[in-house]
Amino acid sequence: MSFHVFILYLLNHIEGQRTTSSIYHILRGKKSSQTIQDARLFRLGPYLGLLPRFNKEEFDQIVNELVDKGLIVNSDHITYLTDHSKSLIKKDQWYSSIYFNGEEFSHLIVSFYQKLQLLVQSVSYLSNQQSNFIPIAEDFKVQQDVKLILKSPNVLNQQGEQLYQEMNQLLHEVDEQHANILMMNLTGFDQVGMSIRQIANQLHEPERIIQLKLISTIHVWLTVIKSNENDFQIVSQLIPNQHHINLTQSALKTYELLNQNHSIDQVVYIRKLKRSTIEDHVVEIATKNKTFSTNLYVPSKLEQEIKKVVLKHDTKRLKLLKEKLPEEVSYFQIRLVIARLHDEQAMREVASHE
Amino acid sequence: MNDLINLEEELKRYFNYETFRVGQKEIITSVLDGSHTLATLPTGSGKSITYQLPALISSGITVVVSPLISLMFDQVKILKAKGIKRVAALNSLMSYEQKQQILNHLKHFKLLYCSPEMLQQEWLINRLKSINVSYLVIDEAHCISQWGHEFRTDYLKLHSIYKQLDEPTVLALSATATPEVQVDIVGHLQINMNKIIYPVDRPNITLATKKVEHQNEKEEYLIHLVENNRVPTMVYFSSRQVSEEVYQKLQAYFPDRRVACYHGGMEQDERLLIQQQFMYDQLDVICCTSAFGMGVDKSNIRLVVHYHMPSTLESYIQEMGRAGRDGKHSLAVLIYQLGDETIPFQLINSELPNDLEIETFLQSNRNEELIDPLTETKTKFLNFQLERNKTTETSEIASSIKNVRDHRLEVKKQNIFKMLHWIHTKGCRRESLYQSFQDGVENPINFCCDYCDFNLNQWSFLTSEEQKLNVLYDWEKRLNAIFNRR
Repeated sequence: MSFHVFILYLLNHIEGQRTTSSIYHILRGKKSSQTIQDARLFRLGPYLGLLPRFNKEEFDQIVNELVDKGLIVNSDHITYLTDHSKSLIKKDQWYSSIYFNGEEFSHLIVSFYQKLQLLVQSVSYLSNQQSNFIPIAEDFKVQQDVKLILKSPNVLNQQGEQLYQEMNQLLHEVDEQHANILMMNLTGFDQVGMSIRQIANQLHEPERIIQLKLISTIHVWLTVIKSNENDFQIVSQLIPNQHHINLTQSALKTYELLNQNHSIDQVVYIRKLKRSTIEDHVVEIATKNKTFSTNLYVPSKLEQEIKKVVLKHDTKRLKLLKEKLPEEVSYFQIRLVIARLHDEQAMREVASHE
Repeated sequence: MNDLINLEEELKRYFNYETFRVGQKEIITSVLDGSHTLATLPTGSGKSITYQLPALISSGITVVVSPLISLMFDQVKILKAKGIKRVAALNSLMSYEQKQQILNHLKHFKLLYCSPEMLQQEWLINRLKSINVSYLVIDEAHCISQWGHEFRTDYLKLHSIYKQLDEPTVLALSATATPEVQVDIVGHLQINMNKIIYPVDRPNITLATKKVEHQNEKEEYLIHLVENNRVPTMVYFSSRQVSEEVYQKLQAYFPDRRVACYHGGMEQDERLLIQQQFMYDQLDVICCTSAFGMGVDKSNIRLVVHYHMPSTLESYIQEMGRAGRDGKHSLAVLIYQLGDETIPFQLINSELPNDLEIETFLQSNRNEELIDPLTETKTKFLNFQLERNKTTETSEIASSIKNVRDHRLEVKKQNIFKMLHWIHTKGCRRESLYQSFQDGVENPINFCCDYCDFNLNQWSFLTSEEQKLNVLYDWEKRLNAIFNRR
């Protein structure tokens, strides 16, 4: 039941505003402007992209079970939680104590973790004089990167002492159970790691929970490593480089064209894409890049007007907002204002706490 | 040239084996002499060494045509784990950069595994022509034959590839080629071949079947087998779902045994861990589909159980042949429940296009419209048939393709009937299983089969005390173990 409760907890954030599938897309980390904006809007950024291979059937089954148990109601494409489910969320908050930062790390962890597994396996074998083994990560790029790291100084000295120390320090940063899960999953010359399923059986917890705990550990590690790169000379090399603010590929192209002073219509023409697609990109850029000016698309007077309506009705449902605004205001403009409004709101809240 | 090379020394140097196994040296010598060779050796007898060794000790590159991407990767993985690094695989799943990386270093490699589709690419052929290709190896050569159980249309184009590569020495290998398939292989390649045909039976594997009436009885019998045979065991299933269900029952029934499940529906990371655990003796029983074990190089599997019947004798020979690669006595059991054959019958109908699919495909092709995509096997079949019918009257194409389809369906149905016939055979199972491949069988080293001399119900492998791995659940102990600290 605990994974169901986690889903309920996430649904609680979008209650009355979106359908269940928005949560599915957020967990999968769908690269659409809508999903990225939703994650910001409903403060679900930490959960963005946690389960990139989550399949729709599994999710739908969970939703159906929640409906059957009378925990959620879907009406007119909007999801509502019942009182019973609200009390359930408060009762079993296993997830509240574990840390996620999906927005920052989801796109990094697959590569980071595969490299970590392969590096640990390699150092374990090589420092025990065994040079022939079957790599635990099959990805070509991962193997190339790890080979390079193995060549850097100190990695193989004194039976991998430095990596051992870095791992030891990082393992102290998380709960004992989380540390155990990660170490059970890793492969060394002594034995092959246990699969998530086997760990779940061993600890009598659902597979999804074990998976989330493992992901959380990696998020903690990435946070620690990024703030003290000097202390983690080896493992910090496992973090992929980020060249750009984390835009989707297609949005990045649009961004470059807009920077060359092309209008939206020109970008539509150049890229041979639908106008709505380019608009999605602009919303995504505005969401992620706070220095990007939206005045070209929403004159500041209109922006104030839209803001007022959004705040007054305290809703993010576009259809409702559109009805309350003059005919000529487009959905695109409303979305842009909401994208920015959220940041301002957050700033104000932070300020008022201080 | 052979006189100058001590093949045993080379075998020791590259593979760390002291002696050749039956047939290996004869095939290697034939290939090194430059004779085109068609060879059959049983599954699990070290077939791949017959081309790997010549490739490693000859100048130039050896191109190996392999039908399955997973098989290719496994071969490369196994070679690299043995310290043989100058090998690579090329296939359509790889990214442009990955392919370029290999192409740019083509001269560096001794062995290049390719899918047959890949070899249709002109750029690859041109690159290969610019370097010296010493051997062209056709692995699983039965795929060339329409009579073969895994007929692959791309294999029919291998003759032209052989020509384009300036006629390198060809080695065609199979573990399951009946005499008619052998004729087909030579016919399609259009070259004279030195035939080296070894019997493909496995004298160290005892064969048995068990007939049951109900689902419950089937499960109970499997439990009985696992209970009585505490040895490395594989259980094959035709369905992912059933493999999951039975896995859970077994694990619940034998909490002290290490049971795992493996099928194509699992995440890649999880599959890798399970496969390696099995290889390193960290698992006792694995419940799997045919997705497992293409290149499983585990020598001490003692028991292979089929929970469902395979759709061909060839698949059965291949899968049960994973037992006893070390030559020691092993056991293969097929559990049959009346009506089990409906699964393979349904399967073959979903593999080939029906009349409507053929007509829609042809129509969309003429009008250049898009249709809902068919499965990959269906699309491949249709594209190939379309190409073959280039000169056929438009009005005739549909019926011509339907004829071919019906023929393939018939071959597949016959294969299932042969499998059933074997299950119900009233004679020696060993002779019956191999009769379409060869005349007679070798003398079994232990029990032959449940018809001749073996009583499955009473059999139990005697095993010495298993040495259990001490699984560490505490992170500090595990970290110390990985880094070999006290």
